[in-house]
Amino acid sequence: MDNEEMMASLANKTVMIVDDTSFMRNIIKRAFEKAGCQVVAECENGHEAVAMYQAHRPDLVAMDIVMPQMDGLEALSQIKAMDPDARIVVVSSLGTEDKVETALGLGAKSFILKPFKAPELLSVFAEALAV
Amino acid sequence: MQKPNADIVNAFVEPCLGMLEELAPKTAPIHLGDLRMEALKVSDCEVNLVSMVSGDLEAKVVFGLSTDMAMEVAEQMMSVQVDSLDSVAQSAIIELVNIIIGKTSMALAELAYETQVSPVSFSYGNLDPIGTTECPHPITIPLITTLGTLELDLAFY
Repeated sequence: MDNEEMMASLANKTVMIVDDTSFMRNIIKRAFEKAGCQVVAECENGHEAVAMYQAHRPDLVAMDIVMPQMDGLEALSQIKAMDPDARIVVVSSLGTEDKVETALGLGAKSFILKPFKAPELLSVFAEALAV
Repeated sequence: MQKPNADIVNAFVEPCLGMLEELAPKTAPIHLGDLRMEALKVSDCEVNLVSMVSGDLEAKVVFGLSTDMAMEVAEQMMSVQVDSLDSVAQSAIIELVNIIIGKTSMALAELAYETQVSPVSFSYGNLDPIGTTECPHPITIPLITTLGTLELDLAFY
């Protein structure tokens, strides 16, 4: 997928960002907004993510793993139980093989390791829309 | 208690060095200060970030730094001038430590230690005990950079 196709596929998509640091949420938000996406919800833990997913049903979800109260893998599992078609990409600094396998096994579309560059992030989410 | 060997300690130190070098690539190489094993201690740093490692290896990890260094680090992360350690600056430093501790967990996995890590907590001005009676001799590793000295305290249980 070239850059033009990638931007076209992401344009006007709704996105939910789940990360416990506002710094990372802002970085991800800026990347999506530059691609013409609409960030409809920002959550700082898994509990909020499950509730906000139900309320907004976004096209895409960026999900961190290590968060207080409920981690991202549990939230991923609960969201997939609610909506098997949910398009969730895990965005985490915890890229051990078992975490990646668990995330993909729970139905994540892909896994991005932090730190990342914005084009890489957008490319993975565009691919997630295509499959 | 897991007896830490050099490979385990390096799994904590190397990601920290790597991220600090990425933050300040133009500065002189970072050097390690003298490694110390102290009696039950309390951090004397103004800013402390703590994460707990559990699983095959159990440890408390404390990243201690001065207010000035914390602001310098936040400034490098955010690419804007930072005049105080507000919630946005704190969030940037927490994310840096999240990435370091994530890389540590990956390095430990390569040594066949499966671990989980807790969310990073940030404390400013609080004197947090580093060790416990179960770990009376935490290892302190000073990482000396041109941004200041980051003190890495490791307590293994």
